[in-house]
Amino acid sequence: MSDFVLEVRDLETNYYTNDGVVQAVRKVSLEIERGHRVGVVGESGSGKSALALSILGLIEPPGRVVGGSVLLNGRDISSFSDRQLQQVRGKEVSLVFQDPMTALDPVKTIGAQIVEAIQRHQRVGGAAAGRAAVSLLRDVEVPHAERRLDDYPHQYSGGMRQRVMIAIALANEPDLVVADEPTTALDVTTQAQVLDVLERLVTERNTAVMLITHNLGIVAEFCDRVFVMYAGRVVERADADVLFARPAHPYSEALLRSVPRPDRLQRGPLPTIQGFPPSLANLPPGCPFEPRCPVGHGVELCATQVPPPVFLGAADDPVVAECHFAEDRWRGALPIEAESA
Amino acid sequence: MIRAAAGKLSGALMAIFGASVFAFIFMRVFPGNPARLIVGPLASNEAIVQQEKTMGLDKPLWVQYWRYIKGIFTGDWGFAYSAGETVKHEIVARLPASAELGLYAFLFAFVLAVILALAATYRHRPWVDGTIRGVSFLGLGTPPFWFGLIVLLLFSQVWGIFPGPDGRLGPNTTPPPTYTHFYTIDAVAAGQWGTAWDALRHLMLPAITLGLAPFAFLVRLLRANLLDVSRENFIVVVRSKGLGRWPAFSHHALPNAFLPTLTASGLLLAQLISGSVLVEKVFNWPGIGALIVDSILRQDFAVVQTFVLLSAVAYVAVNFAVDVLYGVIDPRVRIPVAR
Repeated sequence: MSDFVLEVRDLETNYYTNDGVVQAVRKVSLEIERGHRVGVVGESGSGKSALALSILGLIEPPGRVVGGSVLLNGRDISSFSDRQLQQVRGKEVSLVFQDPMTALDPVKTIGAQIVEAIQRHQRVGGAAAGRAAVSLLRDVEVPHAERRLDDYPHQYSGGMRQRVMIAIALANEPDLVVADEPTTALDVTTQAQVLDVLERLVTERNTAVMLITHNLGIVAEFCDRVFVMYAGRVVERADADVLFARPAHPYSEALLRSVPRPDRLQRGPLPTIQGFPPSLANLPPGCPFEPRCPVGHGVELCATQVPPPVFLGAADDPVVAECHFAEDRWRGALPIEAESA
Repeated sequence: MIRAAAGKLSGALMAIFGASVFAFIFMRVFPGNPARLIVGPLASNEAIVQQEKTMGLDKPLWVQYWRYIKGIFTGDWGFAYSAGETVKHEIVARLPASAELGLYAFLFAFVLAVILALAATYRHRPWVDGTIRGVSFLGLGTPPFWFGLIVLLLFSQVWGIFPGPDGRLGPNTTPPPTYTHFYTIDAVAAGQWGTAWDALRHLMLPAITLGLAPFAFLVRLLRANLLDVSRENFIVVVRSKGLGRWPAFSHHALPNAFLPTLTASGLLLAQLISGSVLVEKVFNWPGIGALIVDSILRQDFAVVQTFVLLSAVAYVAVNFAVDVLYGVIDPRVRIPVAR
């Protein structure tokens, strides 16, 4: 039996807005093995960030988690009170937030914000916590760590701030780090450096990572397993190499096709997915991808029936896709492109 | 750092100088002759000329201005003809009353605004927020003199909880020895607890009346800023470290949301301590408001000039304090980005 650090079962989160109920997370299930790295990919508005906040119990009104369970280290934390969750957050699971420019308190020093995370869960004095903060800053490769401890966020660049975020997330050696678009706001060179730092540190500490991103390149590089989200659902789950070689869901395939790759550059515009994701306040009756789907668009079955999960692949290497045509595609489909080594 | 302080200081001096010139010119370009007003409508031309001479009005403007500035520093602030006393005597007698009332009004407005803005935004309870917004709306829309009359009627006449409009103290209370001219502080300093209590009771209703509109304004401002900041990403991050709702709110949301309120509070404080006409009238408060209005109507130069200058000094001083506090709270003001 596998040792799961996180098991999410049928998690449902709604936002109650004036325009109706927005179903941001619709019965999502996923699991992360200890020390593994999982990617959650999807377009903006597919419910990825809401999923992250739901796992940490940080959904604020008008949003609410309305169903499902979150098992962290085997304990169902979705039934925890906020006070109980405070003992878990930062200690067993922590968050690296998107947009480092706004994720740090502008009026507190970097040192104070790291120390705050340390002292929340460890009984250490100010001096010891300060030393721990310096060593964390060194770990994330912030130059002149001692000197920069008393600086404020506005004196740090975006990449340095994101390193600080990683330092804060790892301050109490959690079992799981939820990283929500950790590199999206950074330029490409900085992205690579920050990812390298994250990768090295989680490998050293055997920390599991749930990496939320829309960047498939990062997923290919970083993740063992991928969950593709569309309209609040996980529409396909597969090991990363399997997904890239043989996407079972048409949405996954469309996502892969819209990534520019130097090894298959063609003339003409980059393929895109036509149209927009459906409004999560007003979902179509059938498959949510049907209006945009190259396979199922106009097919009555797709337009009227929500596709059930289809289990594919080997038992030890399962692929699950929510598509009426998944089985046909899986049997007939050729890999769209062999993964370049 | 020193350069910034020097810049601030010179700016402050410029503002005070500007205010002094403005007050000086303004009083003199208006039609009407103060000498005529003093000697009366039946006085002869010789009497008027004589009066102008004693007041120095026959001298060129710059000479008059020079005398005014020199007087400020030597303590000779001129003569208040409308009151029949020196300006210094009038202001020393009346300004502390206004300033004490203004200070308590400010304290009421500020403390209540902070508490209610926190209550309105913490935990997003719609009915609490709605009630507080309603109160603030009423506070902004209610004319203070009307509100003053109503609270006097209810709390003094009907229920007798607070004293009526008999000024700073009841008729049977003797004023405390004067150190600061603030009765509550002086009475406490002299150990006269009864007097302090009486002074405080007399301050309550006028302070609430005067502070109502500033309170309503501050509540709206701080509530809006708190709502904005509590939606910021860094609040989610702070919570993800395992901090409780209240520590995240009080340690992180409040300091960030507080900055605009600080600026507004400074301006309101300066405005409140320089007196108000209508509220002082309603509560029969021996403040400076009525004196200033009277002096403007009678073109009593000396009083208005001195008052405008003192107000300018108060505004500049309060704003300087605000600037300093701002730097303490917000490092982005204190420390430049370049590194």
